[in-house]
Amino acid sequence: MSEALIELSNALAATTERTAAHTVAVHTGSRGSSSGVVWRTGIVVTAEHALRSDEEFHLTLPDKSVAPATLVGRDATTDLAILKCPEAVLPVPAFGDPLGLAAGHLTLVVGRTRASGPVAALAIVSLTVAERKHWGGATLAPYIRLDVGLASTAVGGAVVDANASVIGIATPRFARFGAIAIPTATVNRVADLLLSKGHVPKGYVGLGLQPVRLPQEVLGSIQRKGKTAAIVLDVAPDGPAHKAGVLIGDLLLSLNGHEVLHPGDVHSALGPDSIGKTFVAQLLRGGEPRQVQISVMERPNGDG
Amino acid sequence: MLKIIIVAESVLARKEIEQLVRGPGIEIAASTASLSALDAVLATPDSVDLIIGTAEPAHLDDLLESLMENLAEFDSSRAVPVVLLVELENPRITARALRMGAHAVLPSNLPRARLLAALEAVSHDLVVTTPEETGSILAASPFGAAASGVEELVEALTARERQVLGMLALGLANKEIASRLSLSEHTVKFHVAAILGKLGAASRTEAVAIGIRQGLILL
Amino acid sequence: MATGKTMSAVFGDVAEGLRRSTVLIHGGRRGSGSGLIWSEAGQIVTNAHVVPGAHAGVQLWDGREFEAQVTDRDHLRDLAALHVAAHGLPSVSIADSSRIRPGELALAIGNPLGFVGALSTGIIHAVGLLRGLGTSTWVQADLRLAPGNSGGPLANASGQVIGINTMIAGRLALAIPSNAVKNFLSTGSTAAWFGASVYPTSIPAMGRKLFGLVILEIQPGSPAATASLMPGDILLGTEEHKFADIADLRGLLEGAHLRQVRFEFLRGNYQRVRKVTLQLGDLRRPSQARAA
Repeated sequence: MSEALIELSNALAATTERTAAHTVAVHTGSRGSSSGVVWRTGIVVTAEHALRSDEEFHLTLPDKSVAPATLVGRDATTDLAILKCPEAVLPVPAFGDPLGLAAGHLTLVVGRTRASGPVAALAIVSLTVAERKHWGGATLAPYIRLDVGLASTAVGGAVVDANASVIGIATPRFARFGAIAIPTATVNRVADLLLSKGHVPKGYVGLGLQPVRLPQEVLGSIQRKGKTAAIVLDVAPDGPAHKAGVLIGDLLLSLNGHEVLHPGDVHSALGPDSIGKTFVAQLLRGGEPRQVQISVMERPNGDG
Repeated sequence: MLKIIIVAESVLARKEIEQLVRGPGIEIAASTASLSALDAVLATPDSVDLIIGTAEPAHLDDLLESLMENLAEFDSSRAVPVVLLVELENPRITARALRMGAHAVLPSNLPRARLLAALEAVSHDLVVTTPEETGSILAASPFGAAASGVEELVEALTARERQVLGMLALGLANKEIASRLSLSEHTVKFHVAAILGKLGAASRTEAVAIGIRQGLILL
Repeated sequence: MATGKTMSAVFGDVAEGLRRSTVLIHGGRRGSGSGLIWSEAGQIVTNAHVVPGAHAGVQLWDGREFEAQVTDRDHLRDLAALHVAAHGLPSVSIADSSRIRPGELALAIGNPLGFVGALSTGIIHAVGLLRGLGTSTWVQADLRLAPGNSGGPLANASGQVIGINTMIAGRLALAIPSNAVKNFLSTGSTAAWFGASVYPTSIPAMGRKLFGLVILEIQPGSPAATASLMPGDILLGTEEHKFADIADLRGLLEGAHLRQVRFEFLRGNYQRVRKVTLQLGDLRRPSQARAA
């Protein structure tokens, strides 16, 4: 092997070792484990979808000890979950700027398993996009896709750049193949919300919807690309949609300027940024187009 | 001697059940409109063998759910069996009640001897139905076949289950949900399990996705 | 007017005749029920819930045992047809169930609690709809049925079958009318094509909460499409009968005979109830998958 390669190989191993000082294994139930990163003192960030339940969790720390952890909160929309573990007295990693990455850059995904200790995967950035919205309203900025086959045990691990700075959390979500790095800004935003409120606030209009195929006659009469929409089957009494005059049986064609092809589109439009905004809804009622203005409120969380 | 508690909202209905069961072999420990008043009785082990409840057909689900919820609050090693008395036997109602955990759904005109036999069986943790019902129940499926284009829904969630599902949509943990609804975590787990079962979901996230698609979660 | 003694003897003969046309059916693990010999060529009719599987054991009044195949099933109406390889069987004679009069004498034969061929008598209470049991017609008789009577005959004083005993409601025995059984046997499936998927909901309208079925999708070419119904329309019921349950719509679709049904519905405006007539009974379906 040439000098350059040996140097690269050593650098990768050294980076892995450095990063591993901040990673833990997350044990949930009997089925395998995933990884997590000590993001702040006593606070671990991991991938939400890998947590099967919200029972108690256990973490394997770098010194091989096992410590219990409790769930602070979870947000399926961004695939992040925050755990509190007072015993994880570990240094917080150096964070880097994900915006500095471009296609072709090298990154490492570093995780941990109880049996083997640190685990590493080499990931080349396959593409980056300044911002991308996903199901449920998650906005990933930047959206960084990694060319890596992520083992399930490494899900939730740290994504580090060539400077050994953590730029995100690795997850297979939000990409059809490979993995993505949930960027540090997103993790911090979600962590702040989960630590202060226990959940990420969502927008709410008070509508129960189902997807429907639009009949031929309707498609012909309106200017629209999509062939499906959402039908209103439930309107929360005194909710924002009710106040705006939406009725059961109305077909919802678009919300806030975006075509609604199925209820998930409405869900996506109602992320935390939608709270307090006024959204225009294009409806079809009895075959006639109508428009209403809906004031989005914060989704009630059962208090009171 | 079977110790029973009678639960029914209407005074008349309670009196009717009292008349029906009163006699040798049965001790009526309490007759009430709601179980929540009976914390002390229920917390004492062996103080009650079973609960008999009745309601109007439209309110049977709610009655059963509130009974099951109240009972789930007690971390008893043996759950207190619940028997529903109904005016009109209906396979759909019976099937739903049994799935929700009732031990028996019996017609209110059952002769006393058969009723006692049924209650005795229930107190031994057996499930009792009348044979006429059993065939219909087991033949009918909650996911009814589409007939002539009139489609059946997934099995309906109760009001409490929809409320819990809405909170799952916020990503709240069981403990959070429990404190906001003033229930025990144990009860919340019971509701979450029922929701996953009814929606055919393998996880909370999947249940939320299905709930949104079905219009069960208000957005 | 016959004397008591003569009537008793006549009754005895009627019961005996009916008994010979009633069979004991072993449906499997769930114990037994009853059935009637509908044709001398071996067609047996019973409730669908008595024969959950594809086969059942059938025992005649004289003790002969047969293995029967289930040839048809309508689980909505709770009817099933079976076939046994035998002929020359004593079949029932059927009466027109639309001519039953409340107060008329009624007999039920069955195999309750293991007793074979037990007779129960009473009078007809009513014929019609029962709240909570859809819009199917039930023959309601004031007589005592027991487990094992399911699938057996309800007959009039002449021994003609007017219904198939199916369930108990309080004091009453409920039987599927013989005309519905004839329909089932002649067409197989009794459901007419409607052509829409619906969702049950509660509409706050006109100061109350109305039960309605929201139309989600309409199949092209269907009776619903021909009547110009569209997604979002909310069906409230027919002119005579408001829906209380999705089963009420299914009940309306029973029967393959061509007929017109006038529906009431809401469209976009909860204040105005609209009406539309649908032609039902055409069993044809679209021959290919509908266009997206």
